[in-house]
Amino acid sequence: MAYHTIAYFAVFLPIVILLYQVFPKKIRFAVILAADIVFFWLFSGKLIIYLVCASLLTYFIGLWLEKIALNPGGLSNKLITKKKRRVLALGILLNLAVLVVLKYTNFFGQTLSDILNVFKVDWTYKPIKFMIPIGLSFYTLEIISYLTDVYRGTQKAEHNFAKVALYLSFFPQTMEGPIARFHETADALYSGESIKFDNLKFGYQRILWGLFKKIVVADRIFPTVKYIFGNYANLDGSIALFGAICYVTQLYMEFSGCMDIVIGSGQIFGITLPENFRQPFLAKNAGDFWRRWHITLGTFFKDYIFYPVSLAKPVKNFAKKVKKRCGRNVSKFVAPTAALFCVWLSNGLWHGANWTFIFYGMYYFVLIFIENILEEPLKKFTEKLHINMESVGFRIFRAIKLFIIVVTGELFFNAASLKDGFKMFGRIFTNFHISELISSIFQLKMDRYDIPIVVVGIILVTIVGALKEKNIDIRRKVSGWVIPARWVFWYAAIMLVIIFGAYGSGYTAVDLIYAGY
Amino acid sequence: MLKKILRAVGFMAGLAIILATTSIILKPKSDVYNAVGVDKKTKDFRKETEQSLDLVFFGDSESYSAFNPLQMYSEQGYTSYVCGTSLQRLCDTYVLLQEAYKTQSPKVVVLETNCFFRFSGLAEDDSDKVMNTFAKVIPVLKYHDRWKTLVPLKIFKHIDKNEGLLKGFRYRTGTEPYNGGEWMKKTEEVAGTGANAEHYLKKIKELVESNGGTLVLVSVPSPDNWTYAKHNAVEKISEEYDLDFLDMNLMQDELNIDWKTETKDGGNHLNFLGAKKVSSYLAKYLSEKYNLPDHRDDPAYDGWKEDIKESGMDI
Repeated sequence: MAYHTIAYFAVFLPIVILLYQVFPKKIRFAVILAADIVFFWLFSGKLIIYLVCASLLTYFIGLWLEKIALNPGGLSNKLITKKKRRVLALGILLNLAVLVVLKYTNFFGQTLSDILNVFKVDWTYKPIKFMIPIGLSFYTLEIISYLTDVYRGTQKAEHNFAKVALYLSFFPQTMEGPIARFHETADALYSGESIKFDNLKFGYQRILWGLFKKIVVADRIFPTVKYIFGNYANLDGSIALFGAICYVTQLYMEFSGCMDIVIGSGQIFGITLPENFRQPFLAKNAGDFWRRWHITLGTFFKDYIFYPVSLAKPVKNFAKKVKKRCGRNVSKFVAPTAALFCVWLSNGLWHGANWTFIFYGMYYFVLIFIENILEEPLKKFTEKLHINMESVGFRIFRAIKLFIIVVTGELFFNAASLKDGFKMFGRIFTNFHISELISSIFQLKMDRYDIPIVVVGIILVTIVGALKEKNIDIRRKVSGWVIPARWVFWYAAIMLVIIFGAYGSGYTAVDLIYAGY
Repeated sequence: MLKKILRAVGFMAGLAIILATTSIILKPKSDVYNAVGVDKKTKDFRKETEQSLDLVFFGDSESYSAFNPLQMYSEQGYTSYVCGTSLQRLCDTYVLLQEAYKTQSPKVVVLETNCFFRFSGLAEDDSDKVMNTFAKVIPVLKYHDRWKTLVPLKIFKHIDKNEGLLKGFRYRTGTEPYNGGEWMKKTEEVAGTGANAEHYLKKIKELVESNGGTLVLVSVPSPDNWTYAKHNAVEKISEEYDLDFLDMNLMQDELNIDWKTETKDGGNHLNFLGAKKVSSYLAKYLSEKYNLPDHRDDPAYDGWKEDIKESGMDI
């Protein structure tokens, strides 16, 4: 019952809405919690025990941190901080340990086995089949954010266990996030405010938009992506490039579409979930792209890895040493670069246990590092040559450059292995004949009816995104129209999804990509 | 608030009318499962010159990946067409066969037997039970994709090689080796056929015979799909219904398929090279056994020679 299935938006969600509204305000939180449990159970069954234990652990560690701060027992501030840090480390490590064991044991085991084989040690790692609960990577980060905020004193420890459980298990966020902060959702989830008609209307309208992106565009492209990435060795370089572009489109349409469904679901209950996308392809560079793509993951890494690492004592000391030897112009990059490295290593690993993801993380580390170093010289250079960085020409150049960066990164991200990624990438430069792509375009799992649908879908999403960038919200605009026009608009939108959606017989149901991370 | 509720009810009523109308428009007249596949195939099939085909193939993707009518014409001279559709169920076969008899009178009808092991009627597969339930009430959810066959789209037609030219055969060039070894290990076990399979087989047989034709069962080599237990099941049916059955999975020496290079997807479907061997063997077998005519010297069939030339296939 993923978010884009009829079982979710036409059965499960309406039932929850109805029950929520029927029950008295005081126990509405229990309806949400019960829905969370049912939703989680439908995917992971008994593995819900992981979530229950994680919630309990988070709750008690939070209280423990608070207790240390409130009852120092004559300890000095330094010792209090030290004690709190140990408790925080315990809470984080216990949760991370579950994530690491379930997701990375096989990867580390296989890597160790490969290394030993290089040194002629005859040991083969036998993979263990782990059952991984749904959303583990997402709720683990939420736990880290909550505990760290309590440790820092920016968040009060929660005394009501239900709120902690609600925060970690809200069903629309279970599969793909967004990674929210405690203060963003917990109180609203517990308050049990009545569902407002406008929230219900706008929530479902946003769900419809998400469904359009996911089942009309992304799922229609999926067979092409699967075919090209699976057969690139026998295909022309132009087709390999087309496959990588299709994957970027599929991933964006799917992930952002899913976020529309998730945020729309939250909106119905009056929960404002954080946005995860902000027109990423209008970004100025790779760094800016990541401030617009999977925003909640980026801000998590910024707040809980980048700042702590760049402010850490050993990093600061090292920066001081570099300053003495090489001067300020070099030392100013030390702390941010060390933190940036940790962020991108974590980003790569978070996506999964595969060298392709680590490479993907390092790819962006290098790119953003270069961007940081060249920022000032480039600014001076363009000023000297009187290049207007806001001119249309320059913006087009910037958009093309960014698109190439993103497509290259996602090619490796989606490759079966790093070796496959390099081979596929190499094919683009060694065996590129555009005529091959043109002549075989309809042999790539999209027929001549599918391609116009995808193109129109992309154009529509681009227009809506461009308007959003200018703070023009289509939904708000439409809601101001007279009823007949409004209804015709929404009937057309609903029928567009129903008629042109890639679902049912003849289509393979496509799982949500990020639900696997 | 009451005004808002009434408005919402009005909106939903309007939506219900639209859904009902589009359902009526898009629901096919016959009981078919893969409506789009059947529509497309019917449309393509009707382009064939009337009363020009000696043989018609039916079945799922196994059939259109393995049977190459142009090659069969080139080697034996008789004309054929593949009415195979993706995941074909026997209820679809029956509808397509009815369509075929409207314009053709094939002497032989070949049915690839992989679809015997699929549910044969209209009931949905189990993949999305909730959607299936909704689709029963709102048929447009099931038949929505039929817009593709109802909307004439002329753009890009000149580069869409999939349509028509190859007489229903799919020219598949991909290669993914099959490494699983022998798959036809002798057993007494009899696999269970899909529900309703025999019901539709009986109807298909009656239809073929009432049109003066012969129904032949053929199983294409496919380590991924076929087993000896399935062979036993079809053999039993063929005896019961007095039908000829050729299981090409048991003819590995005769066909000599190289499973490293002649399968498209690890032993599921044959690619062009595998299809070439199967088509060559089957063309001769059917020609000899059912005394099919040779039209190679008949100028009325010169269009087939042109199609071979235009297809660019090495046959």
